[in-house]
Amino acid sequence: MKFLRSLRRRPFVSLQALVSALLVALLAAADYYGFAVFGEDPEQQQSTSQSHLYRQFHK
Amino acid sequence: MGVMKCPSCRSTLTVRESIGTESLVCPGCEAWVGIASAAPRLIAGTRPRAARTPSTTPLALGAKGVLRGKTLEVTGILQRAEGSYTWFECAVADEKGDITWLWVDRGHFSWSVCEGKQCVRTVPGGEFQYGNETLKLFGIGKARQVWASGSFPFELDPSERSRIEDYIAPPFTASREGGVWWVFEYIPVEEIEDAFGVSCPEPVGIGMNQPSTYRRQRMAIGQVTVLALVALMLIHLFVGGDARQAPLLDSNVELRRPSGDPPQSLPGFALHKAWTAIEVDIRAPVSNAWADLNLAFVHAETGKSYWTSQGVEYYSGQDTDGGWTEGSPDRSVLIRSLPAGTYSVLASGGTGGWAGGTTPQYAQLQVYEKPAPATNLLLAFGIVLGLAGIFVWTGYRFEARRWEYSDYGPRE
Repeated sequence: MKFLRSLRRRPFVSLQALVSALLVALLAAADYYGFAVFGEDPEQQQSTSQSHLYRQFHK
Repeated sequence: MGVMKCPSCRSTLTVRESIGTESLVCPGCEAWVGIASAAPRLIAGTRPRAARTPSTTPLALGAKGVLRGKTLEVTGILQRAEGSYTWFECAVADEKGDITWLWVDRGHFSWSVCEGKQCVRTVPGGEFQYGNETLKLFGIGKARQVWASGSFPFELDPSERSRIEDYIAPPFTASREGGVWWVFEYIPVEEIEDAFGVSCPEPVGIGMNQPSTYRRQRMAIGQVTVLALVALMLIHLFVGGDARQAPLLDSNVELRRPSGDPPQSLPGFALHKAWTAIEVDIRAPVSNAWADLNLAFVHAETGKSYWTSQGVEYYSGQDTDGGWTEGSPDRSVLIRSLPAGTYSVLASGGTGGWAGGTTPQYAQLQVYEKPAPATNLLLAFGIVLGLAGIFVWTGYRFEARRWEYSDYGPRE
């Protein structure tokens, strides 16, 4: 309760701490699992049979 | 208690000697009556005062409450003004009859915490200090008494034109009047409402001595921000810092194969993390020419194919402004988040020129593993610093709004 009261008295600090903690967790997860936030999304085919290059390669 | 007759309307005046009354306002005709001498003396008549009766007062005369451990009763309300700017000074008596003052400026309450010539000291350099706080000049003006109700421990004076200097060090305001300092401490209106059991109007703007919630939190915000930046950097270094420096793939792609030929099969590679961004670097010695590559990364286990088209182009020439160039013979692109697995790579290329340009035979293709690109870290940095920036801006706006009412602000 004391902790919650202190957060209420200092809302900006609480918000900054909350967002920072969230970002630290997200960055750790993104870096650990290898997820890039920015970058080009590659085009994706569900199977190689749909790939233009693959079809060309095997024809 | 003593009883007297109003010299103006002959109403009965009740005088509370216990609170050191020297003048009072007749409740019947609103005349100002001095009672310092044996016989009551008319200080000011009825009409000028009544004509200036304010539509509302911050507290009602006789209101009682407990504020910061003191049992108080409002015994007098005085409205003062400088030009069209007005404020209230409420005399509140405690159980012993000692008078404390509540100063109410645009709905912002403060109460007197020190009164006397020694409350404020002058430090070398000519600045004033209250406690350890250096005071800043906020305003200088001449105040007159425009309306009153109740009893006062001094003689009301409608002809008064007191010079008042206001200095601030929130939550304190120090006012110097007639060589005497009055120091007031800001009290949130909610505390007044709780103390007196009343509902007060919303204060207007920022009070001159209103404490800044931003100022109180700025040190903690700074600490949290620095901590967050350090934590993000460490996480990026230790969790995402295992990117291999050697390329996963380093190969040349033919650019001039006949159109009917199948695409080139390049050496494959394996990605071990759940998801991995890859950096594709393309270099080709193009000059007034372009080179394009189509790349397919084919997942061996799922059969899914991820493909992308990338290219380089570089042009140069001369015009009336001199030499010019456009584009670059190398390019680096981040392709994000391929799932773990073994990949085979297929590539096809093409090239063309312009104005006798040089079209290359091959393009160099390098693929690097980028499991934790720096852009992740930069985005997190941006959000943390952006929030801190918003805090600094709102704190700045708070102070700017405070000083709107002063001719002596930092920007004056």
